[in-house]
Amino acid sequence: MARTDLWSGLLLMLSGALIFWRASTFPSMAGLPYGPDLFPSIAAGGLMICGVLLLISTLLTRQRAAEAGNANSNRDDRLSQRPSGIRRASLRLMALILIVAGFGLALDPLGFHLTSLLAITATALLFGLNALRALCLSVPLTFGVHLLFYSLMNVPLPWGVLTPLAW
Amino acid sequence: MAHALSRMALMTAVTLGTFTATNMAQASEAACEWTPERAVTFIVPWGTGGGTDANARRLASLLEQEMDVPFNVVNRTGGNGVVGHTALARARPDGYTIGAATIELSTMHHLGLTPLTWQDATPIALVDQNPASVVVKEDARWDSLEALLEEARENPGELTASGTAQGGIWHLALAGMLQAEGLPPDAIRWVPSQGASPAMQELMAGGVDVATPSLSEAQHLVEQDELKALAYMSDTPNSSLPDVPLTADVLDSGWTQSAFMTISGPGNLPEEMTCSYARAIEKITSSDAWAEFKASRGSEVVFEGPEQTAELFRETDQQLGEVINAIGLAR
Amino acid sequence: MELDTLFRLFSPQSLTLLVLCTLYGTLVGAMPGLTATMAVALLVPFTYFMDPLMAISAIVATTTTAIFAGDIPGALLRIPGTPASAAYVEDAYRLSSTGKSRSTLLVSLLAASIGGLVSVVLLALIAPQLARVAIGFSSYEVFWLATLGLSCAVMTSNASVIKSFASLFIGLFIASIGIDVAVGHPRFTFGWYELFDGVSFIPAIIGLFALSEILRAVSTGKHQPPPIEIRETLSRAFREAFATLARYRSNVARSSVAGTLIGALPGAGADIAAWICYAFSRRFSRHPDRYGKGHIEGIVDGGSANNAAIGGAWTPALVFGIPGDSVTAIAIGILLLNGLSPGPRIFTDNPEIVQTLYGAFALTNLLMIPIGIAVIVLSSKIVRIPRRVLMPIVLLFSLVGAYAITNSVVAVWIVLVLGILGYAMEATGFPLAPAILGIVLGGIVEENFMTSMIKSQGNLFAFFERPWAAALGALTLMVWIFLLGRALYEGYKRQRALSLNTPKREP
Repeated sequence: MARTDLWSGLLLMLSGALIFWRASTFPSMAGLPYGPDLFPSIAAGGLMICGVLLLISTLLTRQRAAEAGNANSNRDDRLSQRPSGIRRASLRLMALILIVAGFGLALDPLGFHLTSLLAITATALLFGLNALRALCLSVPLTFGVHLLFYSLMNVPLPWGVLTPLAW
Repeated sequence: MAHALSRMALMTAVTLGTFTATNMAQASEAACEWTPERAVTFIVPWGTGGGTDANARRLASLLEQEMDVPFNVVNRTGGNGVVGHTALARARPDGYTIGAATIELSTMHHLGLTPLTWQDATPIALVDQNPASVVVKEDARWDSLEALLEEARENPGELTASGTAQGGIWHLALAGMLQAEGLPPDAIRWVPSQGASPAMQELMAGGVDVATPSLSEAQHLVEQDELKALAYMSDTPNSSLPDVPLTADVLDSGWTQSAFMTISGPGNLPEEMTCSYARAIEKITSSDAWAEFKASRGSEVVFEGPEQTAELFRETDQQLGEVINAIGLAR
Repeated sequence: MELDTLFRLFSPQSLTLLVLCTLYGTLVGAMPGLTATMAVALLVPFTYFMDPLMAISAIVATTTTAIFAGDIPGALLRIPGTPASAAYVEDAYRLSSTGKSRSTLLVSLLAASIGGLVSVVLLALIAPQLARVAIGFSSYEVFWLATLGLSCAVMTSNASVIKSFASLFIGLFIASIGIDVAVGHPRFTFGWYELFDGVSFIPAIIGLFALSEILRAVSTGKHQPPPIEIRETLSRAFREAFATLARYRSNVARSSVAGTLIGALPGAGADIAAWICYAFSRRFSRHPDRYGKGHIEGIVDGGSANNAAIGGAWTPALVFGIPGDSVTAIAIGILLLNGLSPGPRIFTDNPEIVQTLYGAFALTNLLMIPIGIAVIVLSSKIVRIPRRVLMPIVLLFSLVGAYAITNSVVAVWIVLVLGILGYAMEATGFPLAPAILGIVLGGIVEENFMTSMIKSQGNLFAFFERPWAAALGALTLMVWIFLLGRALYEGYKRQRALSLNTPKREP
C-alpha cells in the first residue's frame, strides 16, 4: 500500500489547499468572528493535516522497512498482476463511468425510456451478457422501473423525445 | 360580527371582481377549456411536511379529481426556494408542469441568490395568504408588542428572534416592522433557522426570545398555552384566534405583512392554459373540502385570478425590496 | 373506551390497511433511494379518505417497516436501503458472504421489532416527561449531540485513525457544499443552482455504496467473487437468530431504550440513533476488534436502535405538536385536518388518538415479523441471480432511485462523482463510514454551531452554560480524548513493531 498511500497523502494535501483557498474568498458576517468559511476551512485544514501525517508515516514506514531489508515486501498486490490485466480493468471501469455519465447527459433530452434501454444494454454487455440476453434484460427492466417509479411512486420520469407518446 | 360582515362584503367584492376579470380574459382571447391529457408535475419549492407542501398536496389531490389526470407533487427544495422556483419557471410551458410559487419569488433576486424574478413565471392564482405573528413563550416578561418593542428600543441587539432563514419572509416581516416603527432593523437580532418548526423549538427551549412565524403555524402551540401571541401582522382578526391584537391597530405605522402562496406556471404559459387552470382552481377554492382544509390550518380561504396575483407579486417585489435594502441584505 | 380502541384496531378494515402498509413500507425501504419520508408523503392523498386514526396507523406501519427493510439490500448487496441501515451494513454484508444472510436478517428483523415494542412502552409510560427534556434542546445541545455522533464515526472505524479522520473530513467538506446558514452564501456550487441545496445524502449514499460496488465488480472482470450462498435452512436460521438475541439481550435492551431517547430529541432521527448505539456497542463489547468484519453484535444494537427511534420521534410531535422530522410533520398536518390538535391536552381530550397510536405501533411491530420472514425468504432469491444480470439491475435502480429524491439530473451526477470517490477510497484503504456520517451530520453540526454563535454573539462558553449542553459537551470531549489516546497508542505500537524488525502491513 505504500505507493498508493503516498499518492493519496499528496492528493489530500492538494485538495485541502484548494478548498482552503476557495473558502477564503467567502464573505464573512458582520460582527462575528466565524462565517461561511469556517466549516470548509476546518475540513480543508483536516484534509491537509491528514495528508501530511499520511505522507510522513508512509515515508517512515518505508524507510524502516528498507533498513530492515524488506523493501520489496511492501509492494502493492495489483502491481504484480500482468499489466494487460490492469489495462483491461481500467478500460472497463472507464466504460462504466462513461455509461453513467451518458445516462446523466441523455436523461432529459432523450427521455428516461430510451436512455435506460441504452444504458442497461450497454452495462449488461460490459458485464459479459450477449446482445440478445442484454436486450431481454433491459426491455422488461425499463418497463418495470417505469411501472414502479412512474405509475406507483408518482416520480415524474422525463419522457424526452417520446413526449407525444406519454401517458 | 361587524368585522365578519365587512369581511364577507369584501370577499364578495373580490369574488365579483375576479369573475369580471375572468370574463374579460375569456372574451378577449381564450375559451379556457384546455384540459391536460396525461400526468401533470406539480413542483413545490419547499420541503415535505411544511405549510406550502400541505396546501400544495391538498390542492393537487383536488385538481386530480377536477381534471381527471394525476398531479404528481414533487418537492424541489433548497437554496431558500431558488431551486424549486427556477425549476418551475424554466420548465417547458406545455401545461404539464405547474407549481406552488411563494412570496420568496419576489424577494430572492434582491438577496442576490438568483437572477430569477416573478416575471419569469406565469402567475395563475393566489391560493393561500398567511399573515405573520409575533409569538413569545407563555411565561415571557412581555404582555404586549409595545412592551417588547420598548425593550428592543432601549437595548438594541439584546433580544433574538427566529422563524426562517436569513432574509426569509419572516425575517423581513420582523425587520420591516422594526424599521417602520423607527427602530434599527436589527434591534432584535435574527437567528436563522430551517423553518418555522425548528424556530418554535428554539423558542420553547429558550434559545431565542421571539419568533415571527405565521399565526397559523403557531396556532396550536398558542391554543395549548405553550406560547402567547403578542400580535398578528394583519388588519383583519384571525378567525381561529380573534383576540390576538392586530399590528394595524396597535402600531403607529400600521405595519402588516403576510406570506402568500400562488399556483404558477412556467414562463410564457399560453393564456388558454393559464385561464383553464385558474378556473379549475377557483372552483376548488370555493368547495367545502377546501374550506374545511383551510379551517384545519387556521387560515382563511383566498382566491385571486392571474392578473391580481401578478399585481401582488409586483407590489411585494417593490415593498420588500426596500426592506431588504434597508437591512443591508441586498447584493 | 380502551376496549373500543382495541376493537377498532383489530377490525378487518384496519388489519387489512396495516398489512398493506407493512408491505408498502417493505417495498419502499428495500429500494435504495426511496425513503420512509417519501413513502409517507405519497400516502397523504389517501389519508384524506381515511379516518384520522386509520391515517395515523398507516403512517406508523409504513415508516416502521421501511426502516427495517432498509437492512435487506444492505445485507445482500452491501447497499443500505435507507441511511438508518448504513451503520452496520459492512457487518451484515460480510455475514451474508459466509452464508448467513437468513439468520442475519432474522436478527435484524427481531431486533427491530423488539426495539419498536420497547419504544411504544416507553412512549406510553414517560412521553410527557421525555418531551419536557426534548423540548429543552436548543441549538447548543443539538450541536453537541451531532458532534458526538460524528466522533462515533471515527470510533467505530477499523481503519487507521489518520485515514478515518481523512474520510470524515471528506464527508464534512461534501456537507459544506450549498448555501450556508449564516449569510446565505452559495459555497462550492460554481453557479450551479441545483447544488444550492447541497449534496443530498440519498444520492450520496447510493454513489458511495451502490455505484462504487458496481465499479468494483466491473473492474474485477472475470475474477468475480463467488456469489453469496445461503447455507442455512430456515429453521436453523431461526435457532441461530434466537440464540444470538438471547446472548445479546442486554444489548437489545440498552439500544432500544437509547434509540427511543435519541429519537425523541429534535434533529436526531433513526440514522443517528443507529450510529451512536453501534459505536457504544463496540465500545462496551468484549470483541471490539470484530466490528466491521462481520460481527452480529453491532447489528443487534443498530437494528433495535433505529426502529426504537421512530417511536421516540413521536414524543415531541404528540406532546407539543412540534414535529421532530418530516414524517411527524405530515402526521401533525393530518391530525389538524381532522380537527385534532396535538399538544399536552391531546392526552386528556382525545385519548383514543394516543391509544390508537400506541396500538398501531405495537401491532405493526408484531405484524412486521411474519411479513418480514416472508420477505427474507423471497429476497434470498436475489443472491442466486448471477452478477452480470444483477449489476445492471442494481445500476438502474440506483440511478432512478437517486433521481426520485431530487427529481433532477443533478442526482445522477452526485451518484457518479461520489461513486468514483467511494471506489477510490475503498481501493486505497480509506473507510467509507466516517465520510457518510460526515455528510449526514456535517450540515447539522454547522447549522447549530453558527446558530449558537449568532445567538451568543461569538461567545464560545455559551456551549457549556446550559446544563444539558454542558453534560453532552463533556461527554463529547471525553470521546475526543479517548480517540487521541488511541491514535497515539497506534502510532507507538507501529513504530515499536517496525523497530523490532517485523515490518507489518498497514490494515
